[in-house]
Amino acid sequence: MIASLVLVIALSQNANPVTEVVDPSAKIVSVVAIVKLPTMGAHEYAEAKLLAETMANEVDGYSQSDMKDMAARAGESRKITLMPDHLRIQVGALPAEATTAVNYIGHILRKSRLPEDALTKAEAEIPFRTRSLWATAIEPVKYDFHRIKRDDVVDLYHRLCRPDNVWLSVGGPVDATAIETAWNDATRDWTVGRLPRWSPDPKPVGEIQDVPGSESMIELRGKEFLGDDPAMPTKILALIGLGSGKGSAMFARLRQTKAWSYRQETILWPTTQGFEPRLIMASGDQTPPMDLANAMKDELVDAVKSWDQSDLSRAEGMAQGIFERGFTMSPLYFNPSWPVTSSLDDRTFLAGYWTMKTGRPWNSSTILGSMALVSLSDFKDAALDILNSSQPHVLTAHG
Amino acid sequence: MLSLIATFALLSAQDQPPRLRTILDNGSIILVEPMPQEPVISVQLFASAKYVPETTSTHGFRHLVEHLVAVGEGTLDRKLETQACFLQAETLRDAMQIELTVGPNQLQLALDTLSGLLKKPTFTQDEIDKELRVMRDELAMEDDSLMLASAAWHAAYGDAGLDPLGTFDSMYRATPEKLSDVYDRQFAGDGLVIAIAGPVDIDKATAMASALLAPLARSHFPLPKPDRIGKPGRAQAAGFGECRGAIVPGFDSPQTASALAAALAIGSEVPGCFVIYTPTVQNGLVLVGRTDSTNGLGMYIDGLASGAELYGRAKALAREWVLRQLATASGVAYLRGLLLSQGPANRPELMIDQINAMTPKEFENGLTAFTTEHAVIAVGTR
Repeated sequence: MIASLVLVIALSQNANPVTEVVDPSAKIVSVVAIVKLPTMGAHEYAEAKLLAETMANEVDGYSQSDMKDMAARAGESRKITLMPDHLRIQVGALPAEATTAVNYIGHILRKSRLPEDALTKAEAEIPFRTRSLWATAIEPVKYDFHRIKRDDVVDLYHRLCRPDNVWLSVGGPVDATAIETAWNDATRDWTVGRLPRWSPDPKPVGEIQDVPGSESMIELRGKEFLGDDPAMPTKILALIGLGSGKGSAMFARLRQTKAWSYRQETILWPTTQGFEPRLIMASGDQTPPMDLANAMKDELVDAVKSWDQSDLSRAEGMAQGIFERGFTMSPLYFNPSWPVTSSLDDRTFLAGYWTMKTGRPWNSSTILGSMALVSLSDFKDAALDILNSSQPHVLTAHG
Repeated sequence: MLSLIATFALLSAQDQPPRLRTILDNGSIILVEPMPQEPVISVQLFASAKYVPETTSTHGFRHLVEHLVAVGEGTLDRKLETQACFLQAETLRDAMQIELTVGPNQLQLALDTLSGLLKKPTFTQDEIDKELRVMRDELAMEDDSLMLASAAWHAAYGDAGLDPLGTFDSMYRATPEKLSDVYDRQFAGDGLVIAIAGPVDIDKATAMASALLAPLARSHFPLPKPDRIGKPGRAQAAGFGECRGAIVPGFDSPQTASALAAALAIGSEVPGCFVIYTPTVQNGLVLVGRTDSTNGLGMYIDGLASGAELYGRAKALAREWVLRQLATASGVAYLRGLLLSQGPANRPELMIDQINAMTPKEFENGLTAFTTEHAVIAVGTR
């Protein structure tokens, strides 16, 4: 990620600090609100999907057309995405309209009308939407909209969108005082009433088991670790060694040596507790998918055991490329089906997201500094731990 | 004395033009654009496809050559990545692109790498067969949006609109001799452009790139064929979704500016839309589509009585679409390099000028280009 000056501004007692990514050279301002999600069951996650689809459709005090025009003047569009641990609401604006964008996001979080017809339309459309094979492999979620009512979505909206559960981040040529004032205004009288009664949904979120076409998606899913895990830099470095870049173990062994796959990558995937390391390969090989997953594991374990100082150096170089030079071949998959990039939108998001996740803003220099201290044996152990703790998951091709 | 030196330094920096284009005797072109605030240098080689257009018998051969060339001598990627540098290659309709992303002091490394890639490799049937196994996976993973786009291109332009990815049916006929011929045509000296953007000295970078390209021979191949002619129509694609293409002339025409603005405006109104346009001097397509539904987009376009309310937004989106690409070293080297590989006078400012000059009437025409009567329509069958 390209380095930026990141400021954290303390605000009123009921709101989280605002993170500001100061980039005077940027021509636009990016405003993002990150809403933290708890662990959810199948119905709640489907409700969250409906919420993400509809919450900006009708908002008191703002016409949708005016807001689209505001974003368009900056060449931007409004984006709302759902991930397992957060809801992301982002809008771009010209610097002169930054406070309007902040207020607008405040209104989306507080004053969405969540119209019944929009919810019904989204519920009807979502199951029929197709995504790319890669996007499906990364998030093979199967939404369960059975018997969801508007009241359920409204309850979830009020339960999630509270000032203490939202992290705001603003990036670009930011006027800190103006942003602070705007967000204070937007949150000052944002009092949390009695929260809707909540009973946990015991049914886990369902996963797709197969995909159309000739390519099966073969995955090794590693053991989840916490967001504040002190070994995080070592684990990210091990993921880069395993599957980021064309010098990685996955590329060398699964593509170049075995010719099993065109695309194969490691992914750091967000969970409500922390992160999950994942290794995904798309393959049209005729080997039964579960056998291929086991063979993939054996091949990678063998590769890691042979790693030497040159593999560690390559991973460190690649990490520098990703975090300081904006390489897109990153394991940080905090977008629905692609990694965070060095765009202003993603830098702004990452600053706020990392604060939510770890208690401190993203700092690539600190992480790279920690990575430079990782020994070869720790690097190999971390990679072997990811592989040995992993379970195979496959999406079988049926084409 | 100190202040005098500072003044000279300032003047020197101010005196440098924003960018420098150099045309060498062999017809190859170098473009250098200093961007001192950028953290990386992007060095991009474009090898024009003008001497090797896609045909049904060679469909995808350029793509196959790209795979075989970009791998280098085998350890190239490891060496680059260890130095926090990255190489990626892509086969586009009008050119093959090889990009090296390097740090501020690594321009020589990037050019040395390109020098290695410009030495003609020896292709073997074993290498070809092995790479085809991987490429079969690549083709099988093609996104719905690309399948729709490919179908629309073929419907509009027939065999002159074949996509650059290729098909397995044609690629499996590749032999070392055929690929050797494709390589010679693809990497002819007068079809090459090196575009460099980032924290570089304009004169030094130009001299370094010149030393690389100047020794290469000019082509002896016949001149390119006349421009392709598009027609409205319908096509089916193997994927899911729907897509409409406006048939447009070259990138610097008012029609293309209007169609691009219209596509982006439509995309801002219909949720989940994609817009695809790769600037080309030839007749082409501006595409807008969606892969989450097979209906709704066409109904919206055909039912749009007037675009008056969208005009301002459309103009802003189109302008930003170009400017956004010119905001990073990679984007600058890509857009300028791609256009120069199609002719030495091409530059993105011509496109911006047309967008700025677009009238409401022209914008209405841009929207009309996407209506059933005028557009090429692709619908997914899955």
